[in-house]
Amino acid sequence: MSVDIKDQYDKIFRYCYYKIHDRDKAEDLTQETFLRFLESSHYHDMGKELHYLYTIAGNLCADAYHRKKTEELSEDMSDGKDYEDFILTNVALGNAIKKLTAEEQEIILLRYVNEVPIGVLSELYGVSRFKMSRMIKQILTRLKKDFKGSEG
Amino acid sequence: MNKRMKKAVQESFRFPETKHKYEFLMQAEVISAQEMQRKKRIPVVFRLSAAAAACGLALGAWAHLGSRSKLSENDFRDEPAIVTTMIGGNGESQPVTTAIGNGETAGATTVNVSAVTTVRTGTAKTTTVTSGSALTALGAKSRSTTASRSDHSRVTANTNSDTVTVEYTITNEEKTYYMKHLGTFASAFVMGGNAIPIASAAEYKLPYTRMYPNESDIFADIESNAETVDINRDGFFNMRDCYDLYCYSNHYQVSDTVADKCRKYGVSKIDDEENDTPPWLSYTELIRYFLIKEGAKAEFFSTESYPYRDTLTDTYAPFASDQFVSAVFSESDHLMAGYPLISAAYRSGLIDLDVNADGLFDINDYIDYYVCTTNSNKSNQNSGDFIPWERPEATVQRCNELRSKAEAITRDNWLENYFVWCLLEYTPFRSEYAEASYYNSIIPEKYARYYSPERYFEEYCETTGIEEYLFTFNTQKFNNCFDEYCKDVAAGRRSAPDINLDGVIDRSDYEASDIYFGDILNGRNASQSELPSRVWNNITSNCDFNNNGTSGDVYDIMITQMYVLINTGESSSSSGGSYNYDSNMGILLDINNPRSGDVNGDGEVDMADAVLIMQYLANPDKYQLTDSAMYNADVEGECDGLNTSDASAIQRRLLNL
Repeated sequence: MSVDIKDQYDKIFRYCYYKIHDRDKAEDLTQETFLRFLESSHYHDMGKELHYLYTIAGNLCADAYHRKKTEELSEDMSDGKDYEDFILTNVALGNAIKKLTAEEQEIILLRYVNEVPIGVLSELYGVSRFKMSRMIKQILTRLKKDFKGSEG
Repeated sequence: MNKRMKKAVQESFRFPETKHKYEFLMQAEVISAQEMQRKKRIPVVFRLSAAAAACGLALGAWAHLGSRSKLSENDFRDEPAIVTTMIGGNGESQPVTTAIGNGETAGATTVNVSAVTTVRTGTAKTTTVTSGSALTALGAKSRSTTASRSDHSRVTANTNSDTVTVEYTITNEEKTYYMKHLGTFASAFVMGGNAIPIASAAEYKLPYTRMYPNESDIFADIESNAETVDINRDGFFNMRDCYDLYCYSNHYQVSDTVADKCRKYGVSKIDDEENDTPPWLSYTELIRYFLIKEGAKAEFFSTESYPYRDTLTDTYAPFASDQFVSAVFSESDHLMAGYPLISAAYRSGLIDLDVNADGLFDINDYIDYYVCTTNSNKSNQNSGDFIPWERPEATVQRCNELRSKAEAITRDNWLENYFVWCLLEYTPFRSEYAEASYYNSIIPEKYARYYSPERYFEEYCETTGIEEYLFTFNTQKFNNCFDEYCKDVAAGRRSAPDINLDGVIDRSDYEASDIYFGDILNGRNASQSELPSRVWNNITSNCDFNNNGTSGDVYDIMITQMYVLINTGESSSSSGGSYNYDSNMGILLDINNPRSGDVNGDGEVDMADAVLIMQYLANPDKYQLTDSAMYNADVEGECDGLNTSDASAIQRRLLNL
């Protein structure tokens, strides 16, 4: 198997945590992702393990999110924005990142924190490699602009 | 994106630590290995079937291509498809043989050189065949024809003074016809080739056997006399030949062919006083050779299987087959050759090795089985000094069922070994399985002294040569984990290596780790160690500093010692203790010291050398050093021989202390 589970565990965990903002649940979903990945051996030979891992994780997070929405919200639960404050530690850059759309933030997380190759990202988002490169470039340009603006 | 920006983005995100990563990774490793094993089994059947189907299709396509449709009278392909012209050096036409597209052959045809003109234009190759005596002579219609996209070749050779030129033209039709054949053949070849590696991968080898010292020579003789050992002359050497030889040797009725052959090679019978038979031509050796070569199969142990059923038909046949099967069992028992039967039984679900019924076949099942077996041992029960670690009743029952089933299959008592082999075949190998310390965290301390589950792993490692692997020290791995550990301690994420639990990091921690290292290399347990049990158990259970799942292994010991050296007053450097191991390596290598410290002779002085010195000091019989290694290792003191201070000196040098 070309994907090293040890290397990917933390990355998938970050991805899940970013999606659902719950540490225990994120770890459960991470483990569920790998269990499903290991049990579906036919995907291993297709050379798209990383793509497959993120797809499973994304689907599981979406399911978890839908289930969570149906649960009754308790008083001490805060919305996702507060969690973002917790995740984003660099205030200036964090503010710039928060101005991005959810999809753009996710792309930044995957590309620069999880170091997912552009080829895999393009497959995940269903666009060509060139379009993905252009999207990332545009996001970075906006990020730099906002970042410099907030610093100045 | 520049590096600064990338780093800033990376650092902008902060995520919590995972809680159960390592537990999960251990389980995932097992699941992954079992999945791979399952995956490996299924495709053999499918791919072999696919290969057979592909070959069938290819053959069908080949046969179909042979029956081409009959050409009509006006079809272009009715023209001569291949024109071969031989032109003599003197310009005269020579008789040639010309093949015609529809299969006819015309011999002794005279072709005028002017009749064939070749025109090559760019990449398109065109041969214009002009009508003339050549075509007329071949019986073709007299008309001018252009066969476009044909291939044309010319071969010129000098024969004495004459130049002979041979030209031939193959039309596109012919090329397509042959290319289809070639394509079909290539497809079949590739399909068949794909199946071959799978089949060879499925070949089974025994983990190890208990052969007699000179038996390999005997087996070599058997292999070099393949024709002779085919006792019944059916063209194969198999268990039936062993049985025939057994029957002849034991005065049972055999066929004339077998009797003739046995007499020819002087095979002796059991009561014969004179014995001229070569040592390799005995049924015992043939059985042993066959069991090792092929592995045990269920049919070898069944009196109903075909070799025993068909060979003899007289009244003594049942006795012969019974006794022969007993002989096969006996040799299989001695060789420990029954493992393939256990492995096959596990795969087919005949036996369940998941004795604790947690849904996973892993090391815990082995421990439960081992403990149950030890508990049921009569000599243990009768000895007053045995306190059994009681396992759940259901687990004990499953272990008993497993044992009785396995014994019925192999009729031997090697299930503990076979269990270990199965575990190693179906789950990943972990070196700590062969270490007593691994089980200390699993078996409660009060029972630990009565159980040694590591012994079967040790035995396996020793007999299969894995022992070296167990104590291999990887410098790069150590370097990474040490740096990471120091950073974690500095950040307060992990505790300092206070292994003797006295509340301070000092020289006594270093010495305690040294004693512990000697203990694990010499197989000593907590009760046999100089260390207090509290300290010894702390090292075996709470000191997994490199997070590899094993507390107190060689990496943990080295991390402890290096950390102590950094944090105690033994430093002569004002650097304040650099944690970067790599950056200090250059300083050490620059030292022009004839006693280099390169103990293992790999050209570098690193932690592996310090480990080797400690291993040598702990167990010199096991870890022997050459004279040059001893010389280079003695880096501390004035040639006072090897001692712990030499290892410590290398460690301090590596840390630039």
